[in-house]
Amino acid sequence: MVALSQLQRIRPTKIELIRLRRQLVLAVKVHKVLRERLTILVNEFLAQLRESAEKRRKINELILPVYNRSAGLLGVYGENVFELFRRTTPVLTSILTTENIMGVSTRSVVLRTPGEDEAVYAGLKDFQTQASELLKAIVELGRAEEATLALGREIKSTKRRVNALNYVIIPRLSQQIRLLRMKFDEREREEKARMKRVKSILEKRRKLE
Amino acid sequence: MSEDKDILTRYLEGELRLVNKHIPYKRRNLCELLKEPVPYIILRDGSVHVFDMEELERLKQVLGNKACDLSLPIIVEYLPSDQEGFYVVNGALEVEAVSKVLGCEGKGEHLILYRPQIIELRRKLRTTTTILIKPGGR
Repeated sequence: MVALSQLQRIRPTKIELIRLRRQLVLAVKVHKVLRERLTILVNEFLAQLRESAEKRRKINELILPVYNRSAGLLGVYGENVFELFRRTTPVLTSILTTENIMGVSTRSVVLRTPGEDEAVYAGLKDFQTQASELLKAIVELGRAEEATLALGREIKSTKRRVNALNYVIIPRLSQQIRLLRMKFDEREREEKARMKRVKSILEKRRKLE
Repeated sequence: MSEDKDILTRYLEGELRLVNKHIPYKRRNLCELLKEPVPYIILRDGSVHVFDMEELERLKQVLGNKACDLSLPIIVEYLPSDQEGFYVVNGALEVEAVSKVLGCEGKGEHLILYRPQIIELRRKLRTTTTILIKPGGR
């Protein structure tokens, strides 16, 4: 409901009514657009959530074999195995970037796989493949979780705006338009009654003359 | 009073302007992007959007010889004045790429997609598609 103070503030003019009606049309349009944006954002959020759950499952599957293999290699090559590995194999390079999902900017990482390794060490090739797969899954999980958080924040703010339009701005504008229309109708009725009264007075005067 | 109204109008118009801040100023060619080490575009809000290399390769594979004519990102239009949850892909090459990726039938210049298809499309082509909201209608 519109408070009395607000009603008193509205100028009962036709221009004001036109302006309010224009604002209502604009508010309805914005509401429709924001509601659809909210739906898209929620869908994106759910997709990211699904992806992060999938990646988490993949990491859980990969982490134990990689760990076991590294323990095995440590046994075979001794304590210097990781140093040897580092020196003899090309490493993954990562580039920090950003990705934009429906206006929500999230951080992302592009991993560049190194060229073919010429050196052959028993067991190291498989370990390298598995480890890079694990690293890629971890990076993907990080990206998906970051996107989930950013989308969650955006959904929250968009929802507030949609609700403000739906429950405050649009009803207030509709109510103000309704009240202005009532006021104009009332004015018209008053005018008619006044005209009738004038007419009857004039008729009475004419009869007296 | 009048100032309040102006603020409201300005806010509403600002919302409509900001809703498409994730659209690029200029789309880029698929082949051009594939040659770059990190394929990216600059968006209207000034942020950088990086394309997934796997998605680019997939689009190239799907389109074959015509791949070089495709501009990215593929823009999916949403028209609030039309039916709710109703999206349109414009352009013959874009329609072909999207229909092949989704496995649906699509010919001509326009392809109409509904919400479940959009979810599927965004899942498959997360970085190479973007949704444009057209408040003014067609």
